[in-house]
Amino acid sequence: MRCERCKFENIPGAKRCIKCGSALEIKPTAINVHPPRMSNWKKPFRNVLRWMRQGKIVPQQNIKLHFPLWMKGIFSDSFLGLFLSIIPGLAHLVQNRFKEIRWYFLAWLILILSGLFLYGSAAGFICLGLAVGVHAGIALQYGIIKDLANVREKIVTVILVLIGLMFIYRFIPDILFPNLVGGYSTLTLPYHNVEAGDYLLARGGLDQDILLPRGSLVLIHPATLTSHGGGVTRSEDAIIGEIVGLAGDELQITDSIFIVNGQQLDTEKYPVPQWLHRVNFSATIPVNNYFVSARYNVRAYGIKLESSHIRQVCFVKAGDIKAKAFMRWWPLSRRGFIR
Amino acid sequence: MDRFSQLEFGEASPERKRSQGEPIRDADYFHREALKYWLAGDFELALRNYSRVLEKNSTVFDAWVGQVLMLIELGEYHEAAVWADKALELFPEHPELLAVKAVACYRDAKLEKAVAYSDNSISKDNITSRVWLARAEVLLNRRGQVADNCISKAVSIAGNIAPIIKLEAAHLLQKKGSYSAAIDYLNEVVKIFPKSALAWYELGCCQAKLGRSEARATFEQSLKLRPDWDRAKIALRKFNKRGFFSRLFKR
Repeated sequence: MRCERCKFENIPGAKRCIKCGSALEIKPTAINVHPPRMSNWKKPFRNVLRWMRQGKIVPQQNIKLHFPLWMKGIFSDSFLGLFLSIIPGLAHLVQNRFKEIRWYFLAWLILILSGLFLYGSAAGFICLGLAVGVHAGIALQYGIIKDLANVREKIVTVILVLIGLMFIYRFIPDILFPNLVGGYSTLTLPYHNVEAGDYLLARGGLDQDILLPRGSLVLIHPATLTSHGGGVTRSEDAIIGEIVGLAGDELQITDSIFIVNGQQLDTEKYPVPQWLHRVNFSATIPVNNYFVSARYNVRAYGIKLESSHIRQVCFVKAGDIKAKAFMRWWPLSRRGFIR
Repeated sequence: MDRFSQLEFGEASPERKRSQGEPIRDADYFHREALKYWLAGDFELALRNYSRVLEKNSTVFDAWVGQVLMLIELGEYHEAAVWADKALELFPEHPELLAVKAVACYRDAKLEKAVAYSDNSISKDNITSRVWLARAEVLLNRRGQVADNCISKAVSIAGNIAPIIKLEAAHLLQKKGSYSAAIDYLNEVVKIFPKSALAWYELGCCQAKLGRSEARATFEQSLKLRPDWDRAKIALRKFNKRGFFSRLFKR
C-alpha cells in the first residue's frame, strides 16, 4: 500500500498513511467528487456581504493613532472614539473594528434614509430619533461604556451622548443644506395641487433685487394683529403664502375674486382666502412690497376687519420673504415639484 | 454520423470501438484536459475535467487542489472553502490545501481566517510553491517586499510546474500593480504555452495597464486562440476605446 502523497510504503490494509496521515484506499463510489456550486441568485448577496467584510481590515490600513502624552492624559482612547464617532462608524473604521458595528451602521443608514424620506411626518421623526439612538449606541460601543463600572455613570454618559447627538442632528441640516427650509401651506391652491396643511420645501437665500413672479409660493412669518388695531407682530412660525400682487399693482378684492390692474385673476390659481371673502378691498401695492395671500390670524382678538388691517398683514416687504417653495413634501401622495 | 450517435445507453449499448490514435480517457487524460482548459481561461470546463479525474481516481491530489482553484477563479469562494475542507478530510493538514483555503478566505474578505490558514500551511513541512503563492496573496497589501519575496520563493521552488506558477505569480503581481515584473514572467509563460489564451490575456492586461500599444495585438492573439472569450473581447474593446488622457498619461 503505497501512499500517493509521501510515497511511503504502508502495511497492506491500512486506511491511512502512517507517515503523513493521508487516506490510502478510497472507494470511488464512496466519495462525492463533484464540488458544491453557487446559485446565480446568491452572487449579488455574497458580493454585498464581501464588500461589507472588506470594510473591516486590510493589513496596510492598520492605522495607529499616536498622541502626545499630555493629550493621552486628557483624552483616553474611549473619548477619542466617542469624538470620532460623530461620524457613525468612523472610530471603528480607523481602528479596523468596523465589523463589530456593521449591522448597527446599516440600521442607522436605513433609519436616517427613512427619516429623511418621511421627514415632516410622525414616522419620520420616530425614524430620526431611532437613528440618533443607534448612533449613540455605536459611539458608546467603541469603548467608553465598557470603561465605566458604575451604573449611574453609565446612565449619565448615555444621556449626555444622546443629548450631544441630538444637538448635532439639530444643526447638521443647517450646515449641509443652509438654504433649505420648510413650512405648512395655509391655502388650498388647486393649480399647484397644494392643500391647506401640506408641508412644502422652500429654497432660501433669495436675492432682494430679483422680483418674484406672481403666483410664487413663499415662506413668510405671518403677521398677527396685536390688539384692537394697535399694530401687527410677525409670528415666529413660518407659513407658506402666495404672491398675488407685485409692487405698483392696483389690487382689488371683489366678490371673492382678485382683480389686479383691472384684470380678473383665475380663482384656481389665485383663490381668495376665507377671511377675505366678505371684504371689498382696493389698494395700490407700495414699492418693495408684495401682496401675499395667506390665512392670517386677524380675528384672534375679535376686532372688526378693516382695509388698514388687510394692508398691515398682507403687504409683505421683499426682505421679509424668507424663501420660495419649490416642492410639495408632505403628504407623500402629493410629493412632487411645484409648477 | 447520425444525431443519436453521441447518446450514452449504459451497459445495454454496444461498446463503441475506439478509433485508431484516440487517447485513453483515463485520469491522466482528463488531468491534461483540465490543465488545457485552465490555460485557456475556461475555468468551468477545467473544473469539470478535474471532477472527471477524481471520478476515475479520487486519490489524485492535484485534482482536488485544481477543483478548489477553479472554484476560486469562478468566484465561488465559499464553495471553494467547503471543498478544501472536504479535500482536507482525505489529505489531512496538507499545506497546499490549507494554502488554497487561505486564498479562498482571502478573496472572500475573511482576512483573519485567511491569515490563520496561511500561517498554518507555512508552518508545515514540504512546503510547495503554491503555499508561497498563497502567502504572497494574503500579504499582498502589506507594505514592503514581503509579497514579492514570497512570489520569488514560489517561483524558485516550482520545479517542473514553473510555468503554471509563473502564470499565477504574474496574476498576483498584476493585482499588486507590479506590471513590469508580471510581464517578465508572462513573456516566459507564453513562450512555453504559446496556445494559452489565459497567458496572452494576462499579458495583454499588464501591457494595457502600462499603456503599451502591443496590448492590442496580445489581446487579439488571445482571442485568436479562444474566439468566444468575452473577457478578452471586453478588454480589447476597452483598450481600443481608451480616451486621449489615458493614452497620454499611460505612455
